[in-house]
Amino acid sequence: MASPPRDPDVLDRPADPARVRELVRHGWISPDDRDRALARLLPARAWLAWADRMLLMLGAALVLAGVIFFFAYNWEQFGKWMKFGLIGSGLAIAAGGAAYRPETLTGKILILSSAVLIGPLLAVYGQTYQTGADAYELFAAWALLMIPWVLAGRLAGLWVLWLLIVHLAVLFCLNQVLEPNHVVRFEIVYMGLAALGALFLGLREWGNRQGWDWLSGRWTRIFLLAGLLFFLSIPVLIFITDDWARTLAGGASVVVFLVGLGVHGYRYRRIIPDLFALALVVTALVTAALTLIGRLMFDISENGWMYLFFGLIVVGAASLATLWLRAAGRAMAEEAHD
Amino acid sequence: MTETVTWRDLQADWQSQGRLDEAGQKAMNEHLEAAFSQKEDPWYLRGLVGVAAWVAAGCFVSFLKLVGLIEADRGVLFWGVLFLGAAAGIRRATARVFPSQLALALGSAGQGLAVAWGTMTYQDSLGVLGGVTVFQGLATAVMYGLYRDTVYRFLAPLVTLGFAAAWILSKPDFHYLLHALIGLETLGVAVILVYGRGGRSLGPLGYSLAAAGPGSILILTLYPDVHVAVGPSSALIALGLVGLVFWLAEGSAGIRREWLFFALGGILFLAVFTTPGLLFALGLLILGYARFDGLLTWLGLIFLGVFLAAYYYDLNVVLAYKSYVLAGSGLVLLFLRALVRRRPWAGEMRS
Repeated sequence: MASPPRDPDVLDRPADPARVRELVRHGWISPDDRDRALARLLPARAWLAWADRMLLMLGAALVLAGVIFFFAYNWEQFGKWMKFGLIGSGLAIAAGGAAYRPETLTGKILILSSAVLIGPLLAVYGQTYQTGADAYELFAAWALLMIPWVLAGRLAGLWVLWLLIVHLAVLFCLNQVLEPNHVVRFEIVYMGLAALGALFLGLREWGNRQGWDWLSGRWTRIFLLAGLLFFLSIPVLIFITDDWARTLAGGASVVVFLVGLGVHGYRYRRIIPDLFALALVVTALVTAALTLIGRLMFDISENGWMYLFFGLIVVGAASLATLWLRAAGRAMAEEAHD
Repeated sequence: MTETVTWRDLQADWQSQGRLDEAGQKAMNEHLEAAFSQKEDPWYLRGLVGVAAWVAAGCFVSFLKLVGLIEADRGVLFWGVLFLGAAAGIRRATARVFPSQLALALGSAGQGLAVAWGTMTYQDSLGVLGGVTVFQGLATAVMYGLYRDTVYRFLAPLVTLGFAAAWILSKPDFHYLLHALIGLETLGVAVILVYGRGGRSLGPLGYSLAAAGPGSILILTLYPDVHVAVGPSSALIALGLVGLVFWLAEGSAGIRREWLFFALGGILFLAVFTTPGLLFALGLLILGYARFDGLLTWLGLIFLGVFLAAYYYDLNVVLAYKSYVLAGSGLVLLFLRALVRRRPWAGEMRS
């Protein structure tokens, strides 16, 4: 028997088709062996399931888009009851279909579709009865009414859609009401959105620990964290670059930013190790730090040497970030092994 | 859905059939160890590094300009070649983090300067875009072998292909050359990512071509000043897809020929009635699934959405008929799904 590899974990890694094909090129296995291996890695039923999923998702998306375009074209000709009836029945049929087969892909697509149809239903209501509602009120109502769908659907995509609608409601409110009337500064709104993101991220992590496997997809964590860091970073970058932003609210946003980075850095290094999430936190920190350094340097002078030094500082910062993340990654891998 | 099959499982299979001897197993284990020990940073880390390198490259070029070391076309080629040489030399000399990232920044700056020199010097004969394309291509060709950095090897060809498309776009009498560009990108993906020629060193180039292809097709199909029939590109990509399907079928024992007819019929239908962009995106999706490649799959999904939206937006019919076409297409797909599920061979595949 041949001696085993030095690293025993190598053979326990999942095999992939590209590497299997490489083995034939080196002559270690025959083309027939390759074919049998590929048939095992990607059996015919896997392709069938893939094609089935693609046809379903694409077909459903096209039908839904066609229905929406149809209504858009004929809208003016429909009476108010026709409008309500069409959307309402579409919503009810989709929801009913989802309730009938909730765990299948078809069921999930139907529940997503029915949740999406709540928005047009509210728009028709507002249009028909001339409620004079602003856009943010529409999105807020949509988000509120969607809650039962989100709780019953147990679908990560639906949850993310709901979060997007909530954020749109807040942003429209800022744009249409808060900022024009100088009710609250934009820094407060952005921090509020970041807090909302942090709340949902915390909920996501808690749900994951409780075994809500529908939230276990890593992309939900990355999506929520990226959004949260975006809302934390914008006021800080404006605080650094714009003199008019040097207010109490601006200063508070810097403090909240640092606290937020600290909390999430600690969480994704120690509590829920995730290198991608950690990299996002580090990117936000490095971006803010470089913006500050650049602002200070170019306030002193804008001669060519400052550009050279700043370029070297950028490379240095990226190197430090890389080194730290690599070390963190290795440490997390060892801790996981233990 | 499918079990996770490890290398140990595969080796056990081959050994149980007497198809893998000790020498072969030893060589295979060494190859796998070497492959898995080449620990590259995750893609998001390499992306971060790439962005930082570009920012630094801009700073270095600004430094040269502001201190007067480059002036009009004086000094541009010298500093460009110097930076490129320094980048290649540093990268070969050390793999340490700071020098490697400095090398990436210098390489980006150097390439930019070399391209700028070529453009300024030959702009009368080649035009600005032509000069940029030719010299960017030359610099990329030279540096690809010398500078072994995945980020560079992905971005530099992508930028070259982008400039090539822009150059063709700037010459109305030569818009038909977009088909040649798309053909080259399709062929490149086939050779590098499907057949694996060139080994791992050409992998980043393969991904560049996979990312550039949809861009070129977008220009062909959507740019208002381009009035070239899309047929040749559709035909080229459809041929590529047919080749892909046959390549896959060879490796999957037990697949009935009837599914091949379904697949080929679908490709023919899409080639005739839709855009080359949909075909290319579909090819990326299929290839991504076949290779267990998340990046190709995401590229395919994103461009599928883009080309679908563009296709229906561009349909020269009123909104009402567009809605019928959309919904009708969707129903056809759902019907096809139902039809496939009822075929005897589909039942056999599921069992």
